[in-house]
Parts: sequence; C-alpha cells; structure tokens
Amino acid sequence: MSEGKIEAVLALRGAGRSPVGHDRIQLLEAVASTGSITKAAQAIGLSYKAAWDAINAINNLLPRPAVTAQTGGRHGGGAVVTEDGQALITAFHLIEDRLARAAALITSGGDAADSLSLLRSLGMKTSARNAFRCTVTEIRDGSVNCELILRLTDSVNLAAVITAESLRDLDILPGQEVTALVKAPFVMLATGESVPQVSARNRIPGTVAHRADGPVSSEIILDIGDGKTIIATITKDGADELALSVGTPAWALFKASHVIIAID
Amino acid sequence: MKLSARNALKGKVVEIAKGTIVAKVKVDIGGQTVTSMISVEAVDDLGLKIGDEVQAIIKSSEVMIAK
Repeated sequence: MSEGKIEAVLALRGAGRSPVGHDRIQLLEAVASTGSITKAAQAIGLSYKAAWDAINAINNLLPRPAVTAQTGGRHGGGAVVTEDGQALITAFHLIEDRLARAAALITSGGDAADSLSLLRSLGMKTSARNAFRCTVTEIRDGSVNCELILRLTDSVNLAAVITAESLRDLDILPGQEVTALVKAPFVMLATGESVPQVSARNRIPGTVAHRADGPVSSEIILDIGDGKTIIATITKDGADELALSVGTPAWALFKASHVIIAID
Repeated sequence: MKLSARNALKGKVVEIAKGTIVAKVKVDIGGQTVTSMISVEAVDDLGLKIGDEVQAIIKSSEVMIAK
C-alpha cells in the first residue's frame, strides 16, 4: 500500500504529435517573462534544442501560434507569447487544478472516491443543499416551459419544470442521468397521515433525522429512505407548530419549478 | 394536515388559465387577488374549478417586501 500524494498528470496532444505537459507549459511561461526562448530554456534548465522542440509542439497544438518571433526592437530576435499562448497557459493550469482535486479524493479513500464525487470535483460545486442524482424517465414539452419526470429511487419520482430553451441547451434525453438541485429554503414540510393536498408536485414522505434551530430558522433533515435525505430550511415557528423532532414522520414538499437540473 | 409554511391565505378560485405545462390560478382572498403559477398536472390532480375554496400557500422565505 502506498502512502503520499497521488498526482494527476495532464498532457495535451494533437493527433500523433508530441505531448505538451506541465514542463512545456512552464517553458511557455518562462518565454513570456524573459521574452526569449534561449533565456527561457536556461531558466527552466532545458537544452536549446529541447526548448525549440517544445515550442514547436506547443505551436502545433493550437490553430494559431502560441509563440511568435519578435523582430526588431532594442534586443531583436526575441520571442513573444501570443494571446492564444496565454489562454493555453491559463486553461492548462485550470484543468491541472481540477484534476489535482479529483486525485486528492482518491487518496482520501472511502465513499469520497466514487465516480460521482470525482466528476463533481471536476466541475462546479453548488450551494444547493439538495443534490439528487436521478434518471430522466419522461419529458413533456411545452412552448415556454417543459416538465421532466425524474426517477430518484424505486419509490420516489421528482418533477422538474424548466424552460423549453434550457431543455434544448442542455440537450436532455430520456434515460439520461442528471442532478436535480433544490435549495433548502424551497422545501416545505407537512405532517399528517395522507399525502398533503397541495399543488406542489414533489411530495416525499420521510422521517425527521435531524433538527437544528437558529433564532428564527430551523434546519430539518428528513430521511426519505434508500439512503437519501432532504434538507429543509423553515421558520422555527413552523418547526414548533409541527412539533418536529427526530423520529417525527413528515412530508417534504417542493414545487417542480424550484428544481434546477444540472448535467455533467 | 399541518404545513410549515407561515402564510396560508384563504380565498376563492376566480380564474384558471391553462398552458401546456403550467397554469395560472387566481385566488380572491377578499379585497385582493393572489396569482399563482402551478403545474397543469396539479390543477387536474386537485380537481380545481372556479369557485373552489382554497388556500394560497406562500413560504415566508418567498415573500418580498416593497416599501
């Protein structure tokens, strides 16, 4: 068993060409700061030939050159990193950073290394407390809005209403895996034996697993079965009126229009 | 049924306009009208008709204040 960090090593490569990795990007940055390939090679500790090979590999990667020769001027014969070159440097570091985060998850072990968390660490993190991985089972088109029916578990379906434009933009298809995001303040709670007769499309039965009170707000975590939970932020008055405490059965209610759909 | 939402305004349905996915339902709460946008599915599920006595439910966190 190995200890220590796992590094994610990134290399960009055009078809059949020499790969551009961390070291070559470092050379590019050195060219930008020294204004000369020779000086950059010295700074990085590369031979002149190796530096030229690297610059060629980088230039071959992009539609337009990353480094151009600078003629004239006081020193003459220098090199300039173009806007495209700068963009490449920025993009490379951004991807490297995201990959490093994903790699760190692998070493932390446990559930954190599941493919979903890895994917998430490559993309955006959101503040939404409820993020449900679902499968799209049905899409109902309208002119302005459209409705998605999502399978969360064998017994729980979610309904989401998004704009028809978003549906087209995201190119969502039945059978696709998506993430349904719901802010905690959008979730209402109800007590009672039968399904609450409210218009909210999402009405999920569960049991209070946790209640934390602030001066005016309460955070309630509802266990909805199959290892899933829903987090609701309601008024403390509401939590008191419903007499919510650990073990109390309750319904989580939220409107379909309050569900944001995220795709990978 | 008890609801955590703090605002439950009692009134009568005075208008239902159905789109394909969402419907506009207006509720007369006595002197003022509350307009809601809910899914067409919900209108059918609840069997909503003009004249029905309903409650317009508004979560406290949803209320804006204008001065």
